[in-house]
Amino acid sequence: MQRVTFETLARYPFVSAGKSYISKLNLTLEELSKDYFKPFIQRAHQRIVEAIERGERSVISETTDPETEFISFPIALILVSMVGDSWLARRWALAETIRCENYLLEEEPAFVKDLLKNELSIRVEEVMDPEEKELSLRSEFKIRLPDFLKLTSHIDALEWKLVNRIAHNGWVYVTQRELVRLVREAIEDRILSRLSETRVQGSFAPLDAYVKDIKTRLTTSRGYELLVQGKAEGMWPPCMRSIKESLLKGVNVGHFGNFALASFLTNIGYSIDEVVSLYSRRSDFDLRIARYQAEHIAGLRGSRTRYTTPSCSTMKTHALCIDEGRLCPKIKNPLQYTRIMSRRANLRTRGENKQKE
Amino acid sequence: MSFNTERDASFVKRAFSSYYRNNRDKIAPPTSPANREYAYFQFGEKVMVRHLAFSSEEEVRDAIVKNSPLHAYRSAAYYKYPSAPMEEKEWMGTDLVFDIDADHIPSDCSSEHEYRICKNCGTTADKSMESCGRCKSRLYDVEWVCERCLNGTKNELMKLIDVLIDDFGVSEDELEVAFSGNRGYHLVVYSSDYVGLDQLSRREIVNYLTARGLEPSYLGIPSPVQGKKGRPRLTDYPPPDLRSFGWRGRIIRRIYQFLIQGDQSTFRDLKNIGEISTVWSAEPDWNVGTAKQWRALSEAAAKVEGVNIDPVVTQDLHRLLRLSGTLNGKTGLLTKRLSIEDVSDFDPLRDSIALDDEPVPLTVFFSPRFSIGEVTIDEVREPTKISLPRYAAVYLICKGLASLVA
Ligand code: SF4
Ligand SMILES: [Zn+2]
Ligand SMILES: [Zn+2]
Repeated sequence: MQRVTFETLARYPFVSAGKSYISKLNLTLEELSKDYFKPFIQRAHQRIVEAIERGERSVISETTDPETEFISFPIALILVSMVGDSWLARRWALAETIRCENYLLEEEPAFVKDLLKNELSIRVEEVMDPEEKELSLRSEFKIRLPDFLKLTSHIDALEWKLVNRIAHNGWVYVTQRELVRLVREAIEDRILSRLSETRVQGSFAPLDAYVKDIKTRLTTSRGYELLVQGKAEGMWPPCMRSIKESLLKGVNVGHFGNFALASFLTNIGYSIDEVVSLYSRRSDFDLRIARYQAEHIAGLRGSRTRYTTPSCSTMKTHALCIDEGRLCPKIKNPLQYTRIMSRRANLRTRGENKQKE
Repeated sequence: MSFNTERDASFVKRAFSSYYRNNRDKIAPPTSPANREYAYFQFGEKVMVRHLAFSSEEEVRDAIVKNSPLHAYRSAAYYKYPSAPMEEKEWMGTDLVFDIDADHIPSDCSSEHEYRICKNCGTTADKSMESCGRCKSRLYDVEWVCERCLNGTKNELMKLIDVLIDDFGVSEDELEVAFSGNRGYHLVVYSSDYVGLDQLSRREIVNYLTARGLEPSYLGIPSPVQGKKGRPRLTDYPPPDLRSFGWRGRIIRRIYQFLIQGDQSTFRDLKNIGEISTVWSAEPDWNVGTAKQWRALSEAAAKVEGVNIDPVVTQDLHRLLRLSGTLNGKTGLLTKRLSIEDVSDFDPLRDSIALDDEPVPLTVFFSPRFSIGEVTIDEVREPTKISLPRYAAVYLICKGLASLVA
C-alpha cells in the first residue's frame, strides 16, 4: 500500500506494514512492564474478552485513539498465544476478522481493491466502465474466476455458486458487500498465521493477571462442553466422528456438515443442551444461534418437522463419507450404523453375562 | 467389439505401424511432456500398460512409432514422478479438461444403432437377445454412430468453446481441441490459472457449464422466490438487456429467440405469447409476463444452452486422455487436433481419415448404409464380399463387422 496511516493500521492491523512497524518498535516483553503500555495491554485484554463473550457477533468496539487500537493488536496476539487454547485463537481471529469486514464495507472501492490485491494477493479490480457495470448487475468489483472459486469453496449457499454469478472474460462480478464477505477466510487465515508466528510461552508478570482472567472466562463460557463427555461415541459412524473432530479443531465443516451432525445427534437422542454444548466448542459459537438451529433441527421450531439424518449417498455427494463406506457394514443411513453397533454391543454384554453365570 | 481373427488384428497393426512411420510428426504430445503419465493398449492385450514416462516430445513419438499401439493415452495431470505408482507420483496440477461423448447427449437415435448382430448370417437382434434367432450363433454388440450423433457432439463442442472464451476468458491459443477418432471430442485448457484447482472447484465449473443449480433470480431474471419476505416485483429486476454477460445474457438471448421465432406449441403456459413477442421484438421488457412464465422460459433456455459434457472427466484429477495425433483402435481414424476455425466445418468421417485408399478385399457381415471418405457403403445384411479402400476396410474390421477374405 502506498500510504499507510495510523488510522489504516488501527483498522487493518494484519497488514504487512503493521508487522514491520511493530518489529521496528522492537517491542520486547520487558518494555511491556512500563506504565506507558498499560492502556494498550488493557485494550488488548478487552479485545479478547469481547471475542469470548460475543463471538461472531462481537463488534470489537473501537477506541478513539488509533495508536491504542493498533498497538493493542500485537499485544493481543501475545496474550492469546500465552493462553494457548486453539478454540480461543479461532474465535478471537474470527471476531477480529468481522471487525475488519465492518470497516471494509465503508471504505472507498479503490482502497478495498488495493488492500485485497496487495495484502491478500487476490486478483480484483474495480468496475469503472459504465456499460460494463450495467451489463453485470451493477457490480462494483470483479474478481478473477479461479480466485472466486478458491474463496467460495467452503460456502454452501446457492447464491455463491458460480452458476448463479455473472461471469465474463474470466472475471466474476461482485458487490462490495459480497467481496468483503468473500475475503473473510483469507483475512482470518492471515491473522491466524500472525498468531502462529507469535510464540510466547511460560509466564510473564505484567501479563499474567490478564492471561489468568482470560482462562477463567474461557471455562465459564465453555462450561457446556463438559456435558457431552462420555456419550457413546464408539457407536458413531466414521463420518460423524470425523465431522465432530473437525468441529473441535475449529475447522469449518460447512453448513451441510453442521446440519448432518446436528440431525444425527438429535436422532440418537441427544438433548438440545447436549447438541448446543458440542457446538459451543466452535470458535464462531453463538449460543443463541446454536440453540435456535438445534431446536429447529429437532423439530421444536419453524416447520416442526424433525429432520432425518442425511443418507449415506447424500453424505457421499458432499464428500463426508469416509473411505467410500468401507468401514461400515452395508447401510443406507449413518443412523443404521449406530443401531447395528449398539445391538452388537448388547449381544456381547449378554454373552458375557451368560458366561459369568 | 474387437477383431474377428488374428489375421485381422495383425493387418490393422501393420496399417497403424506404417502410418506412424510416415506421420511421426503428426503425433502431438501435450505441454510439459516430461511431467505426464502415458499409457497404451497393445494389439491383442487386454491390460493397459500404464505409468510410462518420457523425457521429451521426441521420445513420446519414438515410443508410438516403435510400439504402434491400438490406443494411446496421456494424463491430464502433471506429476513430478510420472512413472511412479499413483501414490508416489507427486501431483503438480491438472489441466482443465472436458470430454464430450455421444453417450452423454440425450438423443433419440441411440436405439437405432444399439443392437446385436450375428456374424454368421447377418441377422440383427435387439440387446435382449442372447443368440441368433435364425442360426443360433453367438451375437455381437455393435457400437455404431450415426451422423446425427456426430453433429450432436459437434454442437456441444461449439457451445463449450463459446462459454470458455466468453465467460472464462480462455484464449484460443490456450485450447487444445481434438476429435477422439470415434464419436466425441476432448478439449484441454492449458492455463496456469486453472491447473491448481481442486475437485470441488472443478465441480463448480461442471455445474456452470451444465447450468446445474441455476437459479434465475440470482441472475436478475424474474422467478417466483419462495419464502422470501418482500418478494421483488418485476420492475425491481434490471431490464433484459440482450448484451448481458454470462448466463444472464445467454438466457435472455435464448428467450428472445423463443419469443421471436414464437413456437407456441412448446410453451403451453404462454397464452399471451403473441403479445409478449410483439413487445420483445420492439424492446425486451419483463413487465409483459409473469415471474412464473419467465422462470419456465429460463428453464427451457438453460436446457438448450447448457453444455452436455461428461461431468466425471472434468472432476477427475488423474484422468487419461487420448494422445492427439494417434489412431483410435475402435475405428482407425485419427485423434485429430482441430483449430477453432476448423470446428464448424469439420466432418469426422471425411477429415479424420488417416490411412491410405489401397483397395482391400473383405467379407462384410453386416453394415448400415454410410459414407466414409470417398466411398458410400450400401446397407449389408448378409455376409458379402466387397473391396474397400484401406481406411474404410480398417473402420469395419475395427468395429468387428468385417474380416479379410480368407
Ligand atoms: S457409509 Fe454411511 S455411515 Fe458409513 S461413513 Fe459413509 S456415510 Fe457415514
Ligand atoms: Zn445367425
Ligand atoms: Zn445416432
